[in-house]
Amino acid sequence: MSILNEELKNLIENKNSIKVVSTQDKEGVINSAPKGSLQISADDELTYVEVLESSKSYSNVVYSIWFDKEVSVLVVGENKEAYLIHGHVKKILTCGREYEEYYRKYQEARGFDIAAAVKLTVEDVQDLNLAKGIEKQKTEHPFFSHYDSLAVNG
Amino acid sequence: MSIENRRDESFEETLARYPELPRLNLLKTDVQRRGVCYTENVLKNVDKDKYQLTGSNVFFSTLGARDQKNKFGIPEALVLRDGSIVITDATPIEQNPYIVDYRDGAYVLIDKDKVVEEIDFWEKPDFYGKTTSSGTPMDSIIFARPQRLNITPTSKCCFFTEGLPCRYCDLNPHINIDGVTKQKMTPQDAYETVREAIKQKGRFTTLCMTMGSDIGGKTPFDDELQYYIDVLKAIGKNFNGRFPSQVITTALNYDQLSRLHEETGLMSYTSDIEVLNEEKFNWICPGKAKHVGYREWKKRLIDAVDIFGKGYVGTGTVGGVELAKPNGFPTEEEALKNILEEAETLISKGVAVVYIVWVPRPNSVFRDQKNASLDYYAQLTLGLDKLSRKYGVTAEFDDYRRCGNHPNSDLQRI
Repeated sequence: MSILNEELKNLIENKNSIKVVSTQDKEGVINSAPKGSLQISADDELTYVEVLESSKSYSNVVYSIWFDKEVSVLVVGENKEAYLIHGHVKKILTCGREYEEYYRKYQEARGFDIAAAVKLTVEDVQDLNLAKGIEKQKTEHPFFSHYDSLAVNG
Repeated sequence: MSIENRRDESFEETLARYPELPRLNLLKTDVQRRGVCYTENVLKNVDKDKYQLTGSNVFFSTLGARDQKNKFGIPEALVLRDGSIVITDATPIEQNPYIVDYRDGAYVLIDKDKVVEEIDFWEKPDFYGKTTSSGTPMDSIIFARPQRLNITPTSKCCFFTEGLPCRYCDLNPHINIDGVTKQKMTPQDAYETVREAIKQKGRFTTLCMTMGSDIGGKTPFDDELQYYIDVLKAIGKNFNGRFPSQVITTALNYDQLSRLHEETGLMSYTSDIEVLNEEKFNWICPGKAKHVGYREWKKRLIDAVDIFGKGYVGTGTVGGVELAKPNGFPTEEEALKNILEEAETLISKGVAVVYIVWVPRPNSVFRDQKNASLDYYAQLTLGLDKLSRKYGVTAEFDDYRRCGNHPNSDLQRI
């Protein structure tokens, strides 16, 4: 069964959703970059396009595949639905027909050439919906609240 | 433990000693060091229309390879998961190469019966199989790396003719044996081939032109220079102004370098010094030593920085050949110390230094020798990378994508 639920799949495929890929460099500094090209390319696999070969984002993705570092993807929908996806870099396409397909599509849509198409594995998903989070915390961590919010005759 | 005693260590043991070195980078180095052998299963399944298989181009990597029996019709080279490439040398099974097999619908690299990595092969570009207006097959004069056009216009080196070849090189012998001697490429053929090649969107980022040395001309190497200029001028008609490009020539003097820069759209310059030690250079590269000389070679590289700029000039070395017997360095420790000290004299002046893994080829003078330990190459990769960062000298014209044959410039990706 896919880790991605239907709502998240729809959010990823929706052009109006915001998608942000976060990576780290060798000093552990986090870099976040919007990746509007993010799409589902296979079961539990996402692919997006790195445009700039000189970018911190691309450098960090290479660092991630070299040293098996986790990558996260934040997806936020138009109605503030939000999910955080955790995974790893599976493959960096820099050549070949599959890469050229991404290259052509991006060039036609945006007018730029691209550095790479990056494939990510999907290993875990967090639903960041606030209402659901509040209910979950109430149940699992009853001490994480303030008296005034619990008072019967507030 | 000395490096020599690490010769028989496993890949994993060496990797564990250098946690700052990416596994894929060290694997690439080891695959080049030990070579590859393709199973029948690969040859049976490989898509000949999709992939680039070895043919008759002078610089096809597997011609002159260690495996002289199985060198035609095999995949040209590999692509790794990180998008880097591995130029491979077909190697007989008894020499302990990595095995490339086809399992469960994927191509894999095998070592000691274990799958160590999924791989892919270089794909064939659209211009293969086409001919120029003169009828010349385009793939006979330009061959494709995954993102680079390799222009190899002639198939002779004058140092062989003089009896002074570089001792690790097999250029003239292998083209005679393999029968790939060809007519000198015309500038028009080069122009037309590049014009056709760059129609393929996303396929190429640069071109590299190189050939054997040509001593001819009023000043030595003038003929070689003139030919590069003629071809680059013709190719340049495909672009506006300067275009990403590299030549690898014999070391040219200041005036010749100025002409090359001013009369063409060339963006970077490389001249391979091969061995970073004067005494070993004189022994290993007698033709280069006789006609240019070690110190003059270095001076010309530094002059080139003045003309092309820092980050646009490089030199290649044959990593490990400095250990060749009987006159090479006696130990790997001594070799590394000397090579890195000497590399710093160039890198500190703005010249990028890259290395290739020495493969003792059966048609070269050094045919029966062994290359260095994996540990040696790991230290060479890290040592050169450290120097390039210390002096801020990049080699974007000769990196993982524009070339793909230098473990140390691959590290510049991060």
